Amino acid sequence: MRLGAPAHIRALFAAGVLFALSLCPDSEARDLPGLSLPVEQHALANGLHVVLAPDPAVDSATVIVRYDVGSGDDPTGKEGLAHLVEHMMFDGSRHVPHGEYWRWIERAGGSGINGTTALDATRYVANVPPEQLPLLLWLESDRMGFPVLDEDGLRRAKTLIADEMRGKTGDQSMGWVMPVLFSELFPSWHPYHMDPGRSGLDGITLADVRAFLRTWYAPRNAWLFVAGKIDAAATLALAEKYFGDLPGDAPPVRPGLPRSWRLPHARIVMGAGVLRDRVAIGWPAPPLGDPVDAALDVAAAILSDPSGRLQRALLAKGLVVSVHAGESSQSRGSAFVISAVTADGVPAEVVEDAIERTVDDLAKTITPEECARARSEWATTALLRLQTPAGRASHLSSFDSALEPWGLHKYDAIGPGEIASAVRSVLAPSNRVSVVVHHDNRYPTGGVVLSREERP
Amino acid sequence: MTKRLLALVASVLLGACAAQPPARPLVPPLRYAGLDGHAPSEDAPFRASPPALADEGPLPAVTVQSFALPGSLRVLVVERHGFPALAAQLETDIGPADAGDVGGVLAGMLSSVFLRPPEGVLQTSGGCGAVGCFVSSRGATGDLDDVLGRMADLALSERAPAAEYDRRLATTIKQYEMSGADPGQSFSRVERALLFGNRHAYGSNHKAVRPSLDDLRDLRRRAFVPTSSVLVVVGDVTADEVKASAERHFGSWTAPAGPLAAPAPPPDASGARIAAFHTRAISQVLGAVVARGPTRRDPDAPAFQLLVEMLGGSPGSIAFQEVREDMEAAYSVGSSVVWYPTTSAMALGGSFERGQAITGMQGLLDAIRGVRDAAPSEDALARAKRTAVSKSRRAFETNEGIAASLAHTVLLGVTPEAAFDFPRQIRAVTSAQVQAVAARYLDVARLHVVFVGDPEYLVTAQALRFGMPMRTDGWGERWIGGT
Repeated sequence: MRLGAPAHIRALFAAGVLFALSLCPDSEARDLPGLSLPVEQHALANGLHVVLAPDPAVDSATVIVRYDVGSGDDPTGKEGLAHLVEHMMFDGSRHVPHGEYWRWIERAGGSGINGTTALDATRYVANVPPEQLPLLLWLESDRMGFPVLDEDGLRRAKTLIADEMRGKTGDQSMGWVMPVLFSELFPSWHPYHMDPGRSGLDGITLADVRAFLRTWYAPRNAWLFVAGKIDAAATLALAEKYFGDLPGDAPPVRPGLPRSWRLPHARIVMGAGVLRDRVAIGWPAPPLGDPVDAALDVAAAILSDPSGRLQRALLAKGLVVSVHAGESSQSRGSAFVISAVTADGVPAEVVEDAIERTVDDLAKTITPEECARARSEWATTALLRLQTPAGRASHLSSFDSALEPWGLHKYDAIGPGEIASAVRSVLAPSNRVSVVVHHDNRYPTGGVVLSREERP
Repeated sequence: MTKRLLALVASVLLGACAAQPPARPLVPPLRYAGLDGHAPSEDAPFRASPPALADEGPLPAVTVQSFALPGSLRVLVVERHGFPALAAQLETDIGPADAGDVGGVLAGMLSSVFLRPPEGVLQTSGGCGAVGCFVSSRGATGDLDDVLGRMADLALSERAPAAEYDRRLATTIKQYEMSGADPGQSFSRVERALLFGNRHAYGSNHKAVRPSLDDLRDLRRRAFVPTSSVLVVVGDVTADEVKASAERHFGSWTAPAGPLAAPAPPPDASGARIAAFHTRAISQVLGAVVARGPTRRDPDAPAFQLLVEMLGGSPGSIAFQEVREDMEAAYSVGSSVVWYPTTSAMALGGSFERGQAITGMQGLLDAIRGVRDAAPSEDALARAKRTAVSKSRRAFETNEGIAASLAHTVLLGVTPEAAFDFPRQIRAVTSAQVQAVAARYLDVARLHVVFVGDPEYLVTAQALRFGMPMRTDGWGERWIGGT
């Protein structure tokens, strides 16, 4: 049945965005130039969200199809299912034989083809010359509506994912450290909980894949983002033509989750065949959209300034050879992580203590200048990222864009007080998890857990 | 190894979980509902075949304005007023100052010590490779003076506290010494050592290099001269604005008394045709076929670029399809060309599943032989052309992309006009030309093979018919003997 009625347009926002950066309340203001980039959002009758960002001044068009399902939705015992489905979606569809997807994109002069599986979303992205947009939308609609799934594709996807994961974890320094840290930061009931010792890949069947697709890969649970040299009305008509008749149920409603939880003050010791000891310290943090999450973004930028607080406290004193802080912001919970590679002969405990002191100090002594610099750096980077259609589509497809179209004002209201409060409330010593990696060539590069203890 | 790792991790974590209260699942099992309701028009005529491809659009026109400062620094400006931002890149050919056989290593250290911005300097970076050093910065419209000022500070002076440079040097030397055991860095070193020898700047690899700060200062004094440099500014600025600002920040930068000597081209590749660095630090095996190619100024350059694209430059390429999709021998397969002033280096490689390292490598060699033996099909040629042109266009989508690309290409001896004309030259390449350059540059006698990985999975390497693999250390410097 064709749902061919004119698109039911919900213009949630269609606006030129005027960008004017204001700085921390206590610092000198600096203006950046204006930027006008219109964005339109529509919904087709079958529930598919369509977001368009036209700009005649650029030279290409980027399409991202986002399905609001990710590895956080893997059923228990089927860990890896979302990632496996992403791989299999490149295997072909009813009208696109195996291997032809790539070739069609290349015949059109496309590039930047990729699929990514995150905790909350799976994205398919490609960039084409603007005149080839119909082909790309046709390919994506065939993939959404009529994927071809068979046992050979399932086996091939399992092989490639196992290979991919070996490269990402077993062969990388710190490869297993983040999965181990996340297994502690997110309790077993949380969808982001990882069990590094467990993979459900082998047990996944074709029936599981089909069921997952039917449950989650429906227009009502999907977003089509098109940015670049496009005519908005013509693109919307193409979206209606190719996607408008695809059916699908509403996705399951996910239950609510607690906003925060207390953790045992755990310390994990690992051994790894790396050249130096490493330390990773993490804290669970509020989800994306929470003001505290945004304040922690700025806190991470201040700590990670190329010659900033962590560098002065650890690198300049010869305690580490590298150190980094970051807030991993996600829709159902975030994690603040500081990681470091220790210098020769420096015990990991010394580095742990120095990190803890630096974080405590941040809450007491943050300056307006540091805050202003972090925000200015972030705002300039955000602006420059929007130069290309790919950058614009990528930003729009992030969950950040639901808060504000281009996200350029995200940190306007955050000053030293907000940051200090966030640091005190979230980055408490009692709520942290530490992972210490001792270098030892008896173990693989990715690392092995040797012990776990809970501190009072 | 992986199973043991998983088992250990699992046992520790499961043990830990057992000590906790029973988990309460908050996320219920997923609802595996069947499709109901309407069916899509999957047999509609518009679904049966893809929309016809549109004709290729024109390549974007780029106008380059050029002038020289009183100190001889060449300045190129590309005005782009569609977005409120700008970028600049200063690129310096260090070849003339890099005649010593440790030059490549010293340049890398120079960048780690002196070309990293001090605290508070935003959107600015620097680095050095075998060909040149760069300093770049970017900002919004109106930031031109800040951008060029930051670059001049970083390229021409020392703004960080003196102790900071001492610390950076100590860390740089330490990290350099430890990098000899790093599989990825060793892979790249051995590749270059095979192609250029380990006493040339393009391929130089020295385990024991411990320069002083003054050594690096001396290199910087000799290498960073305006006559060997080009400054490119791209974005929402005018040439007049750039001229005024560039004169303020770079106007007093003067050339040395006499011209510097051009670097000698690398000697002909000789010695081992197949080499292996043995390490158990990775579970996969890194492998590549490498060969020297034409210079960027050579008429063969567009066809060579297209050939490399066709071999492994995209998911639809020959080696990607054969080695990854059909043989399932590697997760990642790719190809690249690195252009040097007097030559180029092609690499076609992958990260192989260890049990398939030799068969996967054979797949790469077969892909090369296939293009040598028969001209590629028109479809394969057309796909490769469109992909290569598309990559060029995307590289030119940002101000910083244009600045970096133009600065680097100009230092290779290519005119700015020719740099932007490369996509058009690629569109003009024929199938026969691709086969001809494959025969000329990828003849089996010109190919070298590199492996990095567990020797247990390389014992059948002689099946590749490249002779007995030579075992090297992680610097590509010491040939240990056969596997």
